[in-house]
Amino acid sequence: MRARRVAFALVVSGALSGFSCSPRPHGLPQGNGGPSKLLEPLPPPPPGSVVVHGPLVVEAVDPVRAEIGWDRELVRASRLVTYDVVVSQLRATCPEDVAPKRTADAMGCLAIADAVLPASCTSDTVHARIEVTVTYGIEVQQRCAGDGAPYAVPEAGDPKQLLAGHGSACFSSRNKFKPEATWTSLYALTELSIVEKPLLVVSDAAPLVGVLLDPASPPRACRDDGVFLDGTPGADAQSPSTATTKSSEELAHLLSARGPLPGEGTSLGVTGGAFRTEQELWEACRPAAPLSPTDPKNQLLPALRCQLLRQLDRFVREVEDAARPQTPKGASAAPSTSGSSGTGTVKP
Amino acid sequence: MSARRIGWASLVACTSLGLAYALHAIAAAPRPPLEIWGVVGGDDVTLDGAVASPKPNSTSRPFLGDPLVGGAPVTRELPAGAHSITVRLAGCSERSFRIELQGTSKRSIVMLPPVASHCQLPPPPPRAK
Repeated sequence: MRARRVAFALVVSGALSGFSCSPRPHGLPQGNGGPSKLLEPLPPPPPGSVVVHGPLVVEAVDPVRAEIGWDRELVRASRLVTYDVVVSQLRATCPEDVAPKRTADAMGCLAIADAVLPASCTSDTVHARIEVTVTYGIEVQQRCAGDGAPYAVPEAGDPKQLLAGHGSACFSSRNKFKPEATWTSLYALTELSIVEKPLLVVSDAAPLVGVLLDPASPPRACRDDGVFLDGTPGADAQSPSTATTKSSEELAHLLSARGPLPGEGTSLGVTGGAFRTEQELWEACRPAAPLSPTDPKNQLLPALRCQLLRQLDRFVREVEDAARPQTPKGASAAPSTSGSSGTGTVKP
Repeated sequence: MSARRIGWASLVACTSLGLAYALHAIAAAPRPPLEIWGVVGGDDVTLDGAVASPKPNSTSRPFLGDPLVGGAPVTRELPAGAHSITVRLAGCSERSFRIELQGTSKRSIVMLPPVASHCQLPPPPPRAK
């Protein structure tokens, strides 16, 4: 266990380089950070002119916030990612006789297809930021190596206490009457299944974001409510959108593909429903030595999941430390002098 | 008189016991830690309306997934339950969100480096219908 402790100490050492929040970019807009200027429709065009709009375009998907923690300790956790979806739309005021041809989108809103406008048009591009938060649910199951079923953890009651009881029984049953030097660590006896799934997508405009991010969707000029990005009414009739609403899973996938977190795509920290030993999963969180900034294990998404794994690891260590003195030892071997945290090897 | 004194003493004793029990319950209630990473001096953070900004000269430190509390620019132990947070990174619009704290282990929030040209953009106008 000493090696694990050393590795752990290395991980927490702030001197090491891992995923880091890079220095703030230079050249920030000199705003005061106060409320942004809200989008406003163009004023009514002069007689003989018309206002035209281009399609809505997603310019960027920026992950802006990540969060992780237990919702029910050691059993159920959640990981949240908030994105800024930056949407833009060209708008122009053109003389009626040269106004570009417009076609209706699924909402019945007219939009120009050609971005090249006649010189007599005046144009600008408006931008807006749509916040979208994806909540991933993380379900953790534990079982004793060799058992088919995971530990039963009823919805009621303190899960930590229940799991400690199961872990302690596992350690004792697998090691009792064996020489202590040959005992198998609870790290190796505890098997974990960790499944992460998108549960929820929250946004004022989740359906629109789903349509705009889907490369298979036809161009859209209006939001779901039939107005252009700046609030100008677009659809004369209440045309129902033909786009199907995306599931949380589809939307989460589209967002993470377009705006990946550092380390996105790694399976580190999840098992996809299979059971793997706590030891093996914990080892995957150990950074390579020497640490490299490009080491995927040091990136944000793995670091978030590894926080949970390391908390599980501490729990397993505490359970083993409590279970050791209560486990009957075999007579033939000399007892070891320390508990789990003092031993340096794990015997599978 | 003696009966009154006994009654008074009983009342005081009961009140004291009740108060002690309440204080013990408050002290024993878990206060899960919350860490906020990715904020630096000059950024504004409020937790449930109270200022919790990082120290003026604090710098960004890496989030590595440490299981225990330590090293984050903002750390608070809060009662279990829902809490509201507002973060305004320097040069950006403020963001407000809610979190739910449970258990005894820490919960971590990591603010990612902002994209300067995007983080001040306005939201679209509210829905028309």
